[in-house]
Amino acid sequence: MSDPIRTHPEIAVQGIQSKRPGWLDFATSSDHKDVGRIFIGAALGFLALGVVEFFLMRLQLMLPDNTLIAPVTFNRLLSVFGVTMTSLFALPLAMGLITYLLPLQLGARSLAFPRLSTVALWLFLSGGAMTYVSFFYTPPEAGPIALPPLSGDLAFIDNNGTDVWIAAVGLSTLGLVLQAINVIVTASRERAPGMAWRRFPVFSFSGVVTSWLLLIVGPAMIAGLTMLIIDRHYGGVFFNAGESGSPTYFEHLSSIFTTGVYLIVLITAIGVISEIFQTSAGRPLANRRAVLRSLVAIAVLGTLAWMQNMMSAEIRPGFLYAAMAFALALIVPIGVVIWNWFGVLAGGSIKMRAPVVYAIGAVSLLSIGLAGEMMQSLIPVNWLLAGTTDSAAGTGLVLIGGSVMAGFAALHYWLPKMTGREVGEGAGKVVAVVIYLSTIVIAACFYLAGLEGQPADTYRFFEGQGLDTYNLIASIASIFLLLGVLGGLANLTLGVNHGRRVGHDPWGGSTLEWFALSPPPPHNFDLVPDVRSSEPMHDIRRGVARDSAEAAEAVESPEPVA
Amino acid sequence: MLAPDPASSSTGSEINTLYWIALAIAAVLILLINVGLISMLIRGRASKGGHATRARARHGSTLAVGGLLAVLAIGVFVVGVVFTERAGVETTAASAADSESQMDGSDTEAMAARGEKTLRILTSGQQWLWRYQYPDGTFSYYELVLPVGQPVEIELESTDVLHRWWVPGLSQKADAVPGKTHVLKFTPDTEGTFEGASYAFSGANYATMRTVVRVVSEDEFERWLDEQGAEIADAQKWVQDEIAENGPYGAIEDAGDGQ
Repeated sequence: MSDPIRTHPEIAVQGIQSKRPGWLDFATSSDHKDVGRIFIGAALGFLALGVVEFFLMRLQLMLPDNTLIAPVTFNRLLSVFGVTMTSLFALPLAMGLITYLLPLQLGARSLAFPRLSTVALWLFLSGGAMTYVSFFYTPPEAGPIALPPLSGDLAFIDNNGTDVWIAAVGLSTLGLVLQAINVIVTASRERAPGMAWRRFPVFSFSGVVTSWLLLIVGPAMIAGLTMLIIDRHYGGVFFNAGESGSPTYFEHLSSIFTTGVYLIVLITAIGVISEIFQTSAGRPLANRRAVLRSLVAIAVLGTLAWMQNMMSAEIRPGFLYAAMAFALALIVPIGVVIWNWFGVLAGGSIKMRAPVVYAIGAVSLLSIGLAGEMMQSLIPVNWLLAGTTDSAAGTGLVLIGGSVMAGFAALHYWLPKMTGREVGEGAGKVVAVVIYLSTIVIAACFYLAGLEGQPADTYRFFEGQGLDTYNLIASIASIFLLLGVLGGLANLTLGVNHGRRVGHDPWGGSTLEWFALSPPPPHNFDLVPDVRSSEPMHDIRRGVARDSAEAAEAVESPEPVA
Repeated sequence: MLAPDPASSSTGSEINTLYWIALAIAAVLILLINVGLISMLIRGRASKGGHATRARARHGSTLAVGGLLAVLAIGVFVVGVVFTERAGVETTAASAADSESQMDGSDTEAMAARGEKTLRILTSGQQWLWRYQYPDGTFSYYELVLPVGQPVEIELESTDVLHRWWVPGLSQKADAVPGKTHVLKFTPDTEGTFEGASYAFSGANYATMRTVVRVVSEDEFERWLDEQGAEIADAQKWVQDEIAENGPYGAIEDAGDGQ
């Protein structure tokens, strides 16, 4: 039985141990898959922290005139929550998915600048660490967006919390901008032969669009933050009204950035949802080209509409009308995308797997949030609703729909590729429903309270304003949101470690990442395929089927023996 | 429940009318998307038997939908512009920018011709209070008293950080930026008490930065103005007397002991 003759040559270095422990290799890896996984893991960790902070704030706002949490503590929670949900969760999750998946979808062996992606990752992580380490001394307290003069002058807040906010947002934004450069170069230089722009998978295309967007809006924010810190400590007068500066300049710069973040969440979500709908319906988008162009249009028009966040500022009417026009023009590209989704869903036989449930919930939440945003882009309605809890509801719907729901959809869909294991389907669907319903209830309460005039970001509300019921219900619903998000995260963790093994191609997707093994080897593909259409994986499957049919035919009808 | 606070000025009523139009459009869009989503899913699942029809490219339908939505967007934009003009956006930024040149301009003349006089209230936001100063130098904190039916110009200023003044039903939201004056105009047409607040995060006690606008008849306004002026004069006289009697710090020390 034992054959002394070995058929394979032995590798002599097999027994030599690695000098460094595995986690260190992982943390300093420049492989886009390792970097992407750390991005995603860290973003999800910050999501857990963010949702706990939200819950704590809701506890304080459960009852009128509540004194559970001191005003300054509340403002610190609020400020950290603001950084967490945007710079530390929504953007890095999107960037992590893009970092992991874009080279695989494009048939590239790596990112264009592998080391740069490690730098980007660690810049983002140090921003996040800085934010949370600040709880040991003074956390930021100047609001979700620290606007000068409150943040620019030591006369108002003289502790270093605001500096933490500036540095944390700056570092993580810088990291993400570097990674955006990396993604753009990869997409233009490293893709497989035949992968023309028009054949890009929708998710990869959305990744390129968001990277360009980040490249525009990120530096605006970094510039603003730099000027702010000069104002704070080095006698600058950029935002000092008394010395011919203007606080409104910073409001413009930060509005450009927050609008960009909003759009990045939206565009990435569209990419994810499009991939999931196409795969689970077994049917391509009817008009891919229109969808890809819509993504570009959303990025351009949406960014130009940044002033719709500042309609109560003293801006000349012409600019406000322009902002309103750009914001309303978004109806067209977003509508075109949704119309194409309808086409995919109507013609396909959809299996209601967990990613599809999440994706549908995400579309529903996004539709409500975007309709609310449409209302607020009308100048007079903006005067009515902006700054109240209603605007928080609109932002929250898009953030939860586009980042949490679509993010979980993406992870349910792509974790089998990253780990080779499936995430629990039943628990996933329950979590999707819980998050969806609790978000709707919270948003409805916020909307109604906002109409009664409750300002956003306040640490208390007063008795006799007709706000008691809304806030109580919203606080109760936030318990379910907390449980839903934490349950969803637990389910993902469980799936990563103990999920059922599902093989390399569990969904029958049409894009190239399903051509790689699960998890993919360091070099991604043994053989980089030629891309001949927008559905390269279907071409490969058809090719394999044709070859094996020919082989089978050859076996079934052997050459007649004379 | 979905209604905003009832309007008590022409600006407020324009805002509320447009709100209802916008809410109707938003509701229709939300319904279309969500009902469409569910019905497409049902249709898709009904056609389970055969493998998905891989019919491609109905470019025409996308173009038609895009065109339809473009018409909708333009329509909403026009409605938005019309209501913004009626609610009075042109008076906010323009008059503030050239307030010097307009001081004796046509606006005031036209008003004078109609027998109206504009009440200018210097409103200054400060952490965490609103201070209102009337033309005769009288001032009040927290509560703004206005005569009904008389045009008001709120000249918004800030002494420290960014604030945002808004009283639902009465006016638009407007930022109070340090170093600038932001003018907003409205004419209250209902007597009553209206609660407002600051809507821009301004630091530790932001939540308590509220305000009340009391709209009263012209006679009552004059009476209130006199009373308030007299009270202020009394208080100032008291302080002067104390200083004369006990030196500059005596009055403060006494007040501290009194507590």
